[in-house]
Parts: sequence; C-alpha cells; structure tokens
Amino acid sequence: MKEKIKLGIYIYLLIFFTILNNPYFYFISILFLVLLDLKFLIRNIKRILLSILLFNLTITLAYAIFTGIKSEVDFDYIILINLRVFLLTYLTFFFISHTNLFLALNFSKNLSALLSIALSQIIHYNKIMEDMKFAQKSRVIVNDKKLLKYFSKAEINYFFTKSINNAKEAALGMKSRGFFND
Amino acid sequence: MHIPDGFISPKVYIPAYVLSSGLWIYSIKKVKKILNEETLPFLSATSAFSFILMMVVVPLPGGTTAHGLGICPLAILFGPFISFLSISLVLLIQSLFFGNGGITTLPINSLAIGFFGSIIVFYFYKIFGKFKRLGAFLGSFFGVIFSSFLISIILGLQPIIAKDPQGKPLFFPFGFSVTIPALVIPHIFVGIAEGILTLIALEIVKKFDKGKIFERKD
Repeated sequence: MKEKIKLGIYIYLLIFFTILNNPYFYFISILFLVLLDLKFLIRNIKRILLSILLFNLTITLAYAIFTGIKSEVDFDYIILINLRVFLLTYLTFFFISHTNLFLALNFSKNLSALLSIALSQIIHYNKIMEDMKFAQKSRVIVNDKKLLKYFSKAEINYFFTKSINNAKEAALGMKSRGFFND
Repeated sequence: MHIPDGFISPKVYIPAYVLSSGLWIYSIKKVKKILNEETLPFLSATSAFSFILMMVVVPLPGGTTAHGLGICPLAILFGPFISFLSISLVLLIQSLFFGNGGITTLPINSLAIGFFGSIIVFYFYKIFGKFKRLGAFLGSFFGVIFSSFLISIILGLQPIIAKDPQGKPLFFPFGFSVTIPALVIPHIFVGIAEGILTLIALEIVKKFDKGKIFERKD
C-alpha cells in the first residue's frame, strides 16, 4: 500500500509541475528534492544529466538561434524548459530509487509478471549489447558492409536464441508454481 | 522518437492517458487469454528485441531522436493490442530505468509507436497474404514512418495550444514546419533498416516457433 501511495504522489507531482509554469517554483522544488536526499544527487547526477542532455541541448541551441535571429534570445523560455525537464527527470529517478516499482504496479498479476520478465531480459541484454559492440569494434578494422551484415545477423540470432531459452526457463518455473492455472 | 518529460502540455498528455488506459485495460485482458508457458518466452523475447532496437538512437536536428522500433515480430505474433501493451512496457522501462523518454509522454509514445505502428504492421502483413516477407518489410517501413509522423504532429501542436499571454511557447517550441521534416525524413532511412532487421528477426523467431504461434489464424 505504501508503494502505491508513493506512486500516487509521484503521478500527482508530475501533473502539478507541468500545469505550473513557474521557473522559481521549479528551482525551489529541485532544491527541496536535493536536500531530501543529498546522497541520491551525488550518485545519480551524471545519469540524470546524460539522459536529458541530447534533447535539451538541441532544443535550447536551436531555439536560441531561432529567437536570436528574429529579435533577441528568449532566455525565459530556455530557463523554464530546462528547469522543468531537469525537475521531472530528477523526480522520476528519485521515485524509482525510493520505490519498489513491482509492488506499486502489482494491481495486475499478468502485468507485473510481464514487467518483471521483460525488465530482467532487458537489463541482461543491454549488457550483452554493450559487450557485442566492443567485440565487433575489436574484431573489425575496416568498415566493411558485408562484415557488418554478418555481425548483425549473428547478433540477432544469438540474442533471440538466448532470450527465448531464458524466457522458456522462466515460464517453466512459473508453470511449476501454478502461475498459468488461475 | 521518444519525447522526454516536460515538452508536452497536460492538454495533450492527459487525454492521451485516458485513451491509452482504455486500450491498456483491453490489452491486459487479451494477454490473459494467450499467456502460457509457450507464448510467454516469445512475448518477452520480442519485447526485449524491441527494446534493443529502440536503444540504438541517432540524434535529429529538430530536437528529437531516430531509432528502430522492433514492433513487427510482436505485432505479427501477438496482434496489435498485445504488441501495444508490450511496447508500452518497454517504453515504461526505458523511461524509468534508462532515462529515455518520459512518464507524462508515455501514452503519446505508446500510442504512436506501439498502437498505430503495430496496427500498420499487422494489417500490412495480413493484406499481403502470400507475400509475407514483403508485407513484413513494408509494414515495418510504414509503421516507422507513420509513428514518426504522429510524434511530429504532437510536437508541432505544442506551440499552438500551450503558450503564455505574450504568445511565447511553454512546452515544445517548434511548429509543424520544423517537426514534420525533422522527424519524418530521417525515419525513411530508419524504416528501411527496420524492415531489413525485421526480416532477419522473423526468420529466427519462425525457426523457434515451429508454427505454434506464428501461423495462428486470429
């Protein structure tokens, strides 16, 4: 129940922050979240900034150039959008690190089972993809399209084989515990 | 293609949540009917495949990104509704754990990519009947193009519907003249790549499936 309340507060805050378009309020809210858990900021600031950097930087630069050419750079908008995006992303990561998502979303047995299996696979394969990227880089010196095609096919094949076999094991485990009988 | 939090007005994402919620409830009911020890491995493997394709991201000048979707194996194997639910879960995981996309924008991304993308793939595959590979390729291609078009419409709508009394934008600042070409043109190339990867993925899935799910009639 506690986790569901946290989820409710998180959703309420997300909506509230997008309805209220006030950069001062955004700034104070960020400060409040930072003071709530300073260790969280230190551990996650790089991840938060990296996840918003690409989109925000492109929009900020494009909009600065666009308004700069027309008259003068609209700093109000740039501050507003950047603070809002930072606040919402910070809030999301903050929520995830302080909440058990599976307990918060367990109103549907099938949905939470699907979420747990998909997440476990995704985390696992994200790591495999990284390893594959390095393996490919270390083995291919020239940018040969045939080699790239060969690698892509082999990677997808490996990925599906491993993925289906792992999920089959999980499904059998679930079957033995009576998951599909209800 | 994922839109992060903060760029979409509540005027758009709240109705999108209402619409998506109805579709999610319906899709969960559909999942309940088909979920067993045979279908679950394919559902999770094809969902993870979609995730992998979505994580290969290329930045676009209009402020968003281009990436594959991987919806075709999901849509063909399980139909558009279950595919929509799986893609929504993938998008949820991406936004919560990897900081890719947003929670306020989840229904928009889910509807554009998961729902309409899956419908296009599914019906192209069905319409082409005997020429399944061509259907899968074209479905994947047009699925990507249409999803990117929908996202560009949603983004381009923001400066029109959400602005301050001085007329300055409050959310995404660029209109249709920027968002449509910036998103749709690069996704033509993404669509071709998606089609090729889909054909490879389908062959592999078929090999494992042995006709159990793949050739089902519904």
